[in-house]
Amino acid sequence: MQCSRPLKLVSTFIQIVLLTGIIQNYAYCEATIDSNSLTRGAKAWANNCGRCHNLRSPSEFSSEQWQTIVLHMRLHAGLTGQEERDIYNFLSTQSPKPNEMVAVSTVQTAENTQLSDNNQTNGTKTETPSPEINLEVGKKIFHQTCVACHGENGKGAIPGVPDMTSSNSPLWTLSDDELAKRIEEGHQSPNSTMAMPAKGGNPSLTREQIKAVLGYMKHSFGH
Amino acid sequence: MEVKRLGCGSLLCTALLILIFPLIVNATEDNETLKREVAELKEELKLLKEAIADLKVESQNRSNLIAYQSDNQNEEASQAEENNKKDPLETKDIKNVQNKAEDKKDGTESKDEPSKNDKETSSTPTSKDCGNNETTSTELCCEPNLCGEIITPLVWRWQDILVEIHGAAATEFSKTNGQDSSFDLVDFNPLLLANYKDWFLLRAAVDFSITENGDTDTSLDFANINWFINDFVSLSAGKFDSGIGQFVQNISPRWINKLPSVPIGFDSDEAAPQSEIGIQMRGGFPVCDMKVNYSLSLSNGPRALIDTTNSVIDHIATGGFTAATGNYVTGGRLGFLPIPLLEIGFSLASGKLALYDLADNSTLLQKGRDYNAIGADIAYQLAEFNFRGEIIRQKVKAQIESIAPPASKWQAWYLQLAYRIPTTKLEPVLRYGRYRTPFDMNNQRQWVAGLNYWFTPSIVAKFAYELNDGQDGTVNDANVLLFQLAFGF
Repeated sequence: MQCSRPLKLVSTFIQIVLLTGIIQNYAYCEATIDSNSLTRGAKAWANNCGRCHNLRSPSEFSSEQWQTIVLHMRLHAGLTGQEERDIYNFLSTQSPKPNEMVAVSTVQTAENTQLSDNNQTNGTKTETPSPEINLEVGKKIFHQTCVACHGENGKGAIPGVPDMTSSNSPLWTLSDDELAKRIEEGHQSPNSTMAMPAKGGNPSLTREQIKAVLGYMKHSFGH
Repeated sequence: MEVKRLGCGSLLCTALLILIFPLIVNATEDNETLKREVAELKEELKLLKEAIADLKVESQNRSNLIAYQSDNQNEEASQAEENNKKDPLETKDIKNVQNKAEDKKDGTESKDEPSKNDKETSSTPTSKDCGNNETTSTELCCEPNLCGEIITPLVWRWQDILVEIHGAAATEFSKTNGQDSSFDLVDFNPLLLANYKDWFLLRAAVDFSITENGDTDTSLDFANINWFINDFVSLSAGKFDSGIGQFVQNISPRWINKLPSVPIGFDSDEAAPQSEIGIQMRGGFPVCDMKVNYSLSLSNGPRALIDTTNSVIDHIATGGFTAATGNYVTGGRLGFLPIPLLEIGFSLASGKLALYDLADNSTLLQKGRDYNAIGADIAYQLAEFNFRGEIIRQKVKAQIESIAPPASKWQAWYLQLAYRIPTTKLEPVLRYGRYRTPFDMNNQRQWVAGLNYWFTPSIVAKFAYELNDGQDGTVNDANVLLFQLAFGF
């Protein structure tokens, strides 16, 4: 009995591994960047990394470094393969390699086209959207790009993010141009440990889209 | 009993598989199509990259050629003027050269034998060609397809393999009541990571620290090779942090732990298992709106260190041993995330251990003693608040025919609350913990109040005061002032 127990344990373990190997054919997914990958990545990054430690700024490491780090974190945080790829896609947009730039810009172009199509469907051009359409576009971008850190209610979903509903927050104390500049270039608050990435990590945001996001935030988080 | 335990283990594993399997089977045919499409896109991307690289080289060659020819043209034109005065026949050759250069500018290169210019510009570019990448090694930088990318020495030449070094370092000053103060900690904990694509990951961490006598203490914290079998399962082999509980495997790095000290009972040779040598499965999967993560391991059994003078078990050593005792432990942890920032985990391990002499760590030739460990943990992040709690227990069961017959158990728990003050880098922390052992002199309660100043998300100055309540006259009863600087990279 003494001899057979470890053998049985090893045998059970091998069976599990073999079974998981069999289901690999069903489950393995190629790394893909679909139109929601960046949004999912931003959310997964904020939800998983912040449980154990402070969020590291996406621009802290290069794209290659993030690849290895996120793989390491997949083990620690019990991430799925899809979560790992989404988080990597989000983080790598801050230090993209040429091939990733192609992939990301393709995604963003698709999103922009979609937004543009929506506007045209409503009889409005992207360059000069009406206030109603601006809010709609702003809402869509906010929920794709900004919500992971700023939260749906604008009060901040992770530590260090200012409460945008407060009258002292930058949203209400800075001019629109200053806010747009901060979004465009990224911003490190003096007392915050983490910087907001340029364009919230979405490199293809246009000036009009940034203004639309600001319009949506001011409309929704008014006090 | 053994069969029953085995049955439980198998049942747990099977249940896990049953949970995973239906979730992943759905993605069958669509995945195949997607795979094909992605493969085609990859192929196209590869071709595009090659074309871009070729264009870059061609463009560089052309600009060098034009610059060189322009210089030559001026020189030769001035020389021609001089020669024209001397020998009208030679002027013909000079004109030929000028015409040739003009042809090349227009893209209508003549079919004459290759000129000196062609030979020079077709050779490997110099480091000057790489623009501003001064820190890049010339050899790597000047690969045409790499030119313009920042390449650190830790990026392997073969781009499927990436190698990196991360880790942490810490130093500490402490003052224990009734004792002299000292700078009592210097710790350097490098972590090497190397991955092959997203299939394999090697992780190895070494810990260097200075002992009281000034020697350098070195230990291999963990070293394991991980194979990512699919999106939901990874298999690890080697030495790894114990999968029982949360603190040891995820919170123990000094730049992550919000207080300078480890919660009582969670350090080496106390209530929490530290590391294992064996194999481990890890992963996560979604269940409806909830996320579940898991770890399941099979490893060499720990050791019970016996104080032979009193015939009692002094402590359980769980540092990971390679000695062949025939004792194994199976166990794991199941974590549930009903909402994204709330995690609740349950851990269980069961197996056999061998008895060793506390005095000299020699075997007492007694093995197969029943051992188990259980634990539960919770972590919740709500805006600026971070709440964490954990309970863990290790037990060696009684055995009549033994040097140390009675059962012994070690139990510890803690609750911790941290609050990041908005718009500042300050974070006050409060922790309460309790540790129970078979020996009264080791039992302890502890309050710790701390204040952190975060320079960056991974560099922190920690100040804390421990209020310890243990047996009178022991070190466990003395309060401690701690100041620690931790750096994660």
